Order: sequence, then C-alpha cells, then structure tokens
Amino acid sequence: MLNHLRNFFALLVLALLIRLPHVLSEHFVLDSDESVLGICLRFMMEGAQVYWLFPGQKYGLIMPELLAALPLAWLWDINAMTIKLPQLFWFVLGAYFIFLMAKQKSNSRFAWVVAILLVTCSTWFLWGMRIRGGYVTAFALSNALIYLSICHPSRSPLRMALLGFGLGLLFHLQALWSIGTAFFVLVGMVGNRKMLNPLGAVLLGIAVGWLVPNLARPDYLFYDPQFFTFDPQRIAGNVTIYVSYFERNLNGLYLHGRAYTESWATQPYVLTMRNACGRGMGTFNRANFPRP
Amino acid sequence: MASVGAMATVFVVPLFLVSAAPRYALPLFSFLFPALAILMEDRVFAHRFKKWVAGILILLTGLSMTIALQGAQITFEDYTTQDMGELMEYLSEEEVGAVLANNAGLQWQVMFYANGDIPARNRPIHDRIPALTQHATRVYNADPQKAALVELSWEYDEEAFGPPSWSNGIFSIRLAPSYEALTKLGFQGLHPNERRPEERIFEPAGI
Repeated sequence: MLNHLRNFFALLVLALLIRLPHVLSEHFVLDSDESVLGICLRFMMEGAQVYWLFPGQKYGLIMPELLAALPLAWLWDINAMTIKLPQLFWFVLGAYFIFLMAKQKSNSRFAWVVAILLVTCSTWFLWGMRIRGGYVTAFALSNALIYLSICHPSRSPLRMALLGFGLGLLFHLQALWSIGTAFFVLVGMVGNRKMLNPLGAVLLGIAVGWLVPNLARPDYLFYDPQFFTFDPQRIAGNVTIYVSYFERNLNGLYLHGRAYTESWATQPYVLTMRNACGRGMGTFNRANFPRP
Repeated sequence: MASVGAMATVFVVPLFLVSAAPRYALPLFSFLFPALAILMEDRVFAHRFKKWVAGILILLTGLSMTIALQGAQITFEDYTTQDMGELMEYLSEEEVGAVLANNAGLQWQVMFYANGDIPARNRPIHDRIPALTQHATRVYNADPQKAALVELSWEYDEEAFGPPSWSNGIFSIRLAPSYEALTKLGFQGLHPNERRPEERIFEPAGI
C-alpha cells in the first residue's frame, strides 16, 4: 500500500512540476465552462445549491470534480489554482491505473516510461487540469474499469455489478468513453464460462449507475444538443477534417483560441503520435487477424 | 479484441458527430495504452518491438517535456489574468451593477472573476443557471444606468453603441448601453426602468 502511495505521489508531483511554468504564467485562466463549475462550487460552499450535473444539462456529472476542488477552495478561496490543480488528482489516478496495467503486462521499467509520458504529454497537458464536466474523471474511471477487467478478471457477481455501476456512471461523465470501455469490460467477461450470472450483474450495475445521477436530474433543461447525425453532407464534412480532428486532439493545446504551435516540438510530437498510432494499429491487426 | 473494438469506437464515432470537437477524441489516449500493455504481454511482439516501442515513448516524452517547459507561453483563451484583472478593476470602480455580455460564455467568466458580486447575462433570456440571468435582468430593468455591456474588443460594435467607455484591447466596455442597440443585438427580456407593481399603485393619475 505504501508503495502504491509513493508511486502515485511521485507521478502527482511530476504532473504538477511539469505544469508549473504554465500555472504560474498569466495564461493560466478559466474558460467559460470552467467558470460555470467555479460558480457551482461557490453555490455549494455557500450552501445555496448543490449541482450533481453540469447546470442546464441532463449529462455531465460534475460532483467528483467539485469534491476534488472543495478542500483547496475551502482553505484558500475559489480561484483558478484552487479549482483546477486538484483535478490533477483524478488525472494522475487514471494514469496510475495504466501504470499498474503496464507493470503487470510487461515490467516495471516499461510501466514507468508509459506513466511518465502520460503525465507529461502535450495531449493532456491542459486537459489534465480541466474542471470541465467529466473529462479527467472519465479518464480515471475508464482506466480503473479497464484495469479491473483486464488485469484482475473475476466472475464474482459483486465485482461484475461494480463494473456495471462504473459503466453507468461513466456514461454520465462522458458518454463517448463508455462505449470503448465497455469493450474492455465485456471482453474481460468472455473468459468466464458461466456468463449468465455475471452478465445479469453487469446489466444491473449499469442500470443503477445510470439511475443514480438521473435521480438528481435538474428540472431545468437549457442545453440538449443532438450529438449524432447521419446527414451525408455532415459526414462528408467530418471526413474532410478527420485527420486534423485527431491532430488537434493529440496536440491538446487548444480550446476556443487557436491551437498552440509556437514550440518546435509540437508538430514532431503530433506526427510521431499519429504515425505510432497508425503503425501500432497495423501491427496489432496483423498479429490478431493474420492473412490466410 | 477489446482493444480493436475500443479503438474502432474512437475512429468511427467522429464521422457521425454533429460537432466534431477535438476533445471528443481524448479517449484515444486512454485506450491506446491498455492496448499497448496487452500487446507487450505477447512475448513475440515484445521481443521484436520492445526497443522500438521504448524509443518512441521516450521520444514522445522528450518532445512533451520540451513543450511543457515553454508552458508560460501556452495560450488557450483570448485573455490573460492581467486583462481580466483590469476589467474587474474598472467594473468595480464604476460600481457596475450588472453586465450584459454579447459573447456566449463571457458572462460566466465575468461572474466567476467578480467573485459572484456582479451578475451577468448573455443575449437569450434563458441560460444554464436561470436565477443568475434573472438577477442581471432585474438589475438592468431597475436602473439601466448601472448596467454595462462587456464585449471582446474585436466584436464590439462601435456603430451601434458609440465609442467604448473603456477598453484594454481585449475587453471593451460601454457603460449604460442604449436599450435600442441592446435589443437590436438580440438581448431578450429587457424592460428599462420597469418598476415593481406596488410602486405603480402610488403614481399620480395621468402619468
């Protein structure tokens, strides 16, 4: 246990240190969604209102992010540092589950290389500190569920119910993460011969996990966007920006303003990531689906 | 199989998104490493590609750290803490009671940095937290002279509102903006100098 705490703390310190030049700069400000959550935290601390979901929406579970920010905000009042920096806890927790996964599947050295890349990477440099309605918390929960499914498979109904509950919550944090994570969880289950009981437990867990945040659903709905489309024109538009969509995501340093490209290292980082993903997927496919 | 399925969702979903914001691809980074860990469990793969994988990961870490060391220059919003501080100082000096922000989202930043002391609203009468929008509207309706229009400087409409009362190049403020221009801009629910019903009871007849 002490070992876990020491490793986790080491990653947390590294994640913080690497961000210090930005955190101490005049560019460390809040965007509009972060400001909304800051206001929610103020309401919560004043006892005026408690928000479980992002205000005006029926998705986006924000309570875990608000709870992480609460201690520092209580000690030093609400400001950009006291609400954004605590989010590193969720982000590093997610990275730590990947560390444990890599350690079990390979070795300790490989695990450290992966973990150090994760906490320092450009892709999550800003997003690791964002209090923005479920991104860091989805990262943590998704990796915890994948770790449990892949590294510690068990057919105990309690474990399965827990995984299902996690998937239900993950849907409320960031729905897009829940689909991919469900693949890892379900494949982790396929190894079990006696599928019926665990499957029932997973479904029950999903139902409960989905229901809990819904009980706190606000009666006021302001933002209820359509997420998916099958309009051919829109799909064609998405095809044209497909590569740039991933490149900007891998860059990570963007939001309402332009993507940050001033550092000479930005483009090599994005291109290396992009090519590594492509090569990796190709190798994986060849290894798992060999040509006859 | 799990990795392929999970990665497929990351690569297929963006084609069908109404708004393909890059942040929706963040799961890519989450699923990539479990997939890599599973790959590394395969001894043949690990033996053949271990050095390559390690090399790429170390290269990426080095590049990331180089970017992070220049973190003081990384911008993702239009304003800096100094810009916002100047805005807050001016609003406080002028004892502005409510802010009307044309830029969707700016109203939240104003309210956050004003520590909840100045209510702010955007054009629609409905917003994420109705009580705050109603509060800003009430302050304006009671006394429009206490309200201010806050705009990003490059979005400020000088023709409609006249020269700004204050500007620092990022934010521009017009104190007591004209009702006609605000309505033309799309601000809903403004009724300047609206008095409460109980005040009207005592008005002399004929006025």
